[in-house]
Amino acid sequence: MKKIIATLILLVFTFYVYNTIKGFKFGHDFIGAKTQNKTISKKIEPAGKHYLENNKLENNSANVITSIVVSYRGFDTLGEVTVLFLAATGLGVILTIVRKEDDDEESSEREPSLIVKTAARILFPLIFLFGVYVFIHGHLTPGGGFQGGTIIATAYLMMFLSYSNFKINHTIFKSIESLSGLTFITIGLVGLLGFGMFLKLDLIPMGVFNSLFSAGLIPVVYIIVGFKVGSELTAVVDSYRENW
Amino acid sequence: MVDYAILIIALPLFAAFLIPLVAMVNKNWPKYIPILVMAFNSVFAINLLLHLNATNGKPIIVKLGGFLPPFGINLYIGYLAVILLILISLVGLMIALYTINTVKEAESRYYMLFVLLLMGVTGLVTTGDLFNLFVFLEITSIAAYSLTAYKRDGLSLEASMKYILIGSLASVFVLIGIAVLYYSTHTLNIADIARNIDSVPTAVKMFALSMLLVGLAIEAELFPMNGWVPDVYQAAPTPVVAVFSSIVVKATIYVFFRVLFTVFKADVSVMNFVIGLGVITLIIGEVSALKQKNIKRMLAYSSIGQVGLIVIAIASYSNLGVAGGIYQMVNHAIFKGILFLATAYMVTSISGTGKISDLRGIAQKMPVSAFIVAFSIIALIGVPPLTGFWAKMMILSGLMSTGHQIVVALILFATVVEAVYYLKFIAVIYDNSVKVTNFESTMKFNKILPVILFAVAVIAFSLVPQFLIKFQDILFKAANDLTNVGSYISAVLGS
Amino acid sequence: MNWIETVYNYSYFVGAFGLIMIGLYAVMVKTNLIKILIGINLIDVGVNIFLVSLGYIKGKGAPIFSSAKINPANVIDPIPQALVLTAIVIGLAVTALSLSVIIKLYGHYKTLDISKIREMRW
Repeated sequence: MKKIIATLILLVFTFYVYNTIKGFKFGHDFIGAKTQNKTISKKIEPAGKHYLENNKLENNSANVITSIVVSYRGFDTLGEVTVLFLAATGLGVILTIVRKEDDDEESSEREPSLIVKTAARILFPLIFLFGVYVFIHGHLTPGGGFQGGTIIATAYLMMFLSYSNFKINHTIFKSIESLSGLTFITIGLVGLLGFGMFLKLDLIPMGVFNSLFSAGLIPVVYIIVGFKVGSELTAVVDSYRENW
Repeated sequence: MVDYAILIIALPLFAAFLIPLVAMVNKNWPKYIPILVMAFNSVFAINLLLHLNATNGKPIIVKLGGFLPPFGINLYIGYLAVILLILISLVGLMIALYTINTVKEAESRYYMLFVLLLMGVTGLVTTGDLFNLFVFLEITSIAAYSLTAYKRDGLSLEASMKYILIGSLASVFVLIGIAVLYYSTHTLNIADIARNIDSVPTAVKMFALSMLLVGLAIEAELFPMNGWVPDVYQAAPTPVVAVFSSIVVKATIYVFFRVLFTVFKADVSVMNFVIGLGVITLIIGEVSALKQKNIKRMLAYSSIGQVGLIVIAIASYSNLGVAGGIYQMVNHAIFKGILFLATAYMVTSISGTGKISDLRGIAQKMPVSAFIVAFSIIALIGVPPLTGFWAKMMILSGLMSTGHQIVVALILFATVVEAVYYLKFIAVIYDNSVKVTNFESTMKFNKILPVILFAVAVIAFSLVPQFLIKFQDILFKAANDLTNVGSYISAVLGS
Repeated sequence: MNWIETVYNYSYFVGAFGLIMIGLYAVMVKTNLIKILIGINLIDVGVNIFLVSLGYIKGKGAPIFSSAKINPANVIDPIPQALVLTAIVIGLAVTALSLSVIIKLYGHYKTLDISKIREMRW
């Protein structure tokens, strides 16, 4: 009975969606705007076109998406960092760590073999380094703070899976998380108090286009975000592991 | 001064990130941080109101990062946003003062979630960009999910799971609406979309409107998407429920109408549909509250009913109706918050289970709290000369002037139903025929003191005539701010 | 071969909305909490694919100016990619939180069936 009602609702929804989407032109070029479409009037300037053209002058970063995420819409990134912080805190509140004192339960599950342990120990610094590479070069190649932080958390996840008694120091990770968040907001407040604009990001010299030391404070912000996301996701994985 | 308005969002965020470090130094200090933050916000919001009065109503536009709209994110703070900001800060301050020694399990993370919930609501009210609205909606929702499940017993977890499932659907629908709208207008700024919405084909516009409205109506507790409300309000800790009912719901109603009026330039058929939804919400909410035995559940259904009334008022699109709706928002927020806190204080004093029958005759032992409860109920129902009466008068005259006489009759019927169950509640509290025997007061009197002071201040303000006139003047300017699209666009893009 | 071009033009939208429909069906019909959570995840993935596919322009490349030949006239629209970055992270946060609630619910009620965990009545 429930299945029939659900299918009927979905069929109505599909029909509604079809009526709307059939007017969408996939892959239509509206940025070059050589051929004017009748539905786009002349006074709309697409925001994407403005960002692409003014990026080199205002931000000097080779990756336009990074400059959108950090500089033009930096407030959304601040909100996203807050969302991750909220989720990690909520998780910590709901899954309070229950220390299992009985150790014979640990030995009943199978220990990973020696090959897995050795390989994990070799791979861990390499994956960590790769994550750091991804978020330092966020303004030159695809990537950035969130992607690099997730790679670092994956490295720690591999160590958790290979060693059954791998422990991390929660206090250090919580401190890194809080300090990174505070530094991000402090950068924004420095812009406010000094120049009257929150999150103004060209306070340090812009540098040469397409090199590592370019784009002002954008790489600094991405490094901070990378550390924050990495430590946060590692703490989340640790909370899951200790409570099951 | 104008650019420093960002501090109303940035400073709570800074304080929330600081709380774990403070907790590592001393376990007792994080308790006071929400109070300091909310006190700062109240003073700042009142300052913003004086600034708006001094510049003759020109809205405050904060350009983030120094980029001009529509190519950067901007905040829009007009009269309505300032009224809501003052409401959020003052009611938040009262609830934060109540929480200090009354929620036993609260530790530093509770205060962090509390501050972030209030920051998310502040961001919802002041933003001028559509995707930024989505991000702040998510901040509010995730803080609400975590706070609902705070007590970690079976009831709270079940309510939180239900809330998470329905809330995720809401955020997905809002995101589909934003995607379709972005593809049609190539921009994400609310004022820019309002300027270009006429060139979008009607089918696409109606699809985006329906997706966005369904998503926002789930958060704003309209029928039929408010199944989560009674369970969540029953299971969460009571100060958190007070925040939900007084603050979060008002901000989501504001967002609902900002999208409907400014982005989509409302037309009459959609308005009538929204009024119909509001009427159904009002009647189902009030009638369901009649047969409830649990205090918080009864107050939850009453909240749903009041949300329906506010939505009817604002959707009528007449100046008097919208101003009356905003007045009812303020009235309901203050007195429902006081009601939740006072009844929680009474229930915790007798270590009761939260049923109405537990409080039989409690006025003999706790006269002050019982008087506050009775007074708040009278102010909510709308007995003259208190504020509820003026608000309902404005709403009803606004509706009569747009020709919705049937709706007026239904609102009067719902008010009668509301009076029935509320007066029954007062009768139970003041029942002098039953002797109360097992009363051990585990709560010291100074816990309820902030609530009493707040109630006294509000009553004093609402009886001074000059303040009432000035307040009504601000209300009409706020109503104009919501309905007048042209002034919104020229304020943001003309600057 | 006009119908091949039509199919190519709509394949992304059909795929994205197909995922959304499957996810909605799972949320509405299934009773196991983990299956409902997977349904919500499918809806998130579908919406993200829809959002990214709105920015594509035929014949143009990625918006990273790594060599001098790439100029603003022959790259695709960068905004939907920035929006999807944020939306993916938010979806991840909600999934992590709901998994923790499910773990605690299983500890309390010893079942994952949503029709058996209904203590609160009308």
